[in-house]
Amino acid sequence: MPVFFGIIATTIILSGLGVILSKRPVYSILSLIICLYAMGALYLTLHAEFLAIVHLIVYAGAIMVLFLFVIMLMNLDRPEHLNRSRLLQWSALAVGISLVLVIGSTLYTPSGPWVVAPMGSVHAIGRLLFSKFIVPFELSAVLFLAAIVGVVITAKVPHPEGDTE
Amino acid sequence: MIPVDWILLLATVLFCIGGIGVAIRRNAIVALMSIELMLNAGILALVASAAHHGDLNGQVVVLFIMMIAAAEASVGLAIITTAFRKHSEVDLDQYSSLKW
Repeated sequence: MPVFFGIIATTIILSGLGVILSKRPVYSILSLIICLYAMGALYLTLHAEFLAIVHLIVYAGAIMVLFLFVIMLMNLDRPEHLNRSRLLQWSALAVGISLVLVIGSTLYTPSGPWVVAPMGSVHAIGRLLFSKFIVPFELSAVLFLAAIVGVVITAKVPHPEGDTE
Repeated sequence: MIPVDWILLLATVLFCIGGIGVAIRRNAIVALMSIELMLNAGILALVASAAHHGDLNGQVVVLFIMMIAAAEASVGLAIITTAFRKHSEVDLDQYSSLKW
């Protein structure tokens, strides 16, 4: 089990670094897909089978394809010249490392044992989603409607002449 | 089982990688992907805590986070598309038309 976690954690961190360090955006997306797959494997060990599947379908299947479509349709895959100041890059690294140290030090209190319980099935999540979390569930439908309308209005190409807007 | 702290530490490292990515990259799409990394770190911490406590509520909250991430990605990409059409550039430093 620790060996498996080590492999998964190494994959996640290396592919996460690949997302922010690769020069071309398409390589960033492919690294992010690797990262998402590794996280899905980690969810399987954490009694979250339904979430693992949904994670792969929604994230790696839908959202990443959306990113790829935008990059490939608009021909954005050109290498980026990183001429941001070295000072900014080093300070970002320092801030990130110190943030890891600060948050990691709060984890220092020893945690209790795992509560071993079968969970994460579609049945259990569905019952909870439609009883206790019914109001946020319906509200997320409203959120999606707003997002759809916003995307269509934002990304619409204005008609060249005689538009009724 | 491994200690839950290791997973939480992994989530912390992932969150900070995403934060560094937002800080150092100028490509708007890569910045959006770094935000996705940070959201995924939050999801990972929630799933680990839910499994550790044997509580299912965390996993339902993760579903809502995924919904919000999908909406955020679609709206963000629409904004980037529109801005690219206007400026022919996805460089975040060039987008200054909302500044004044």
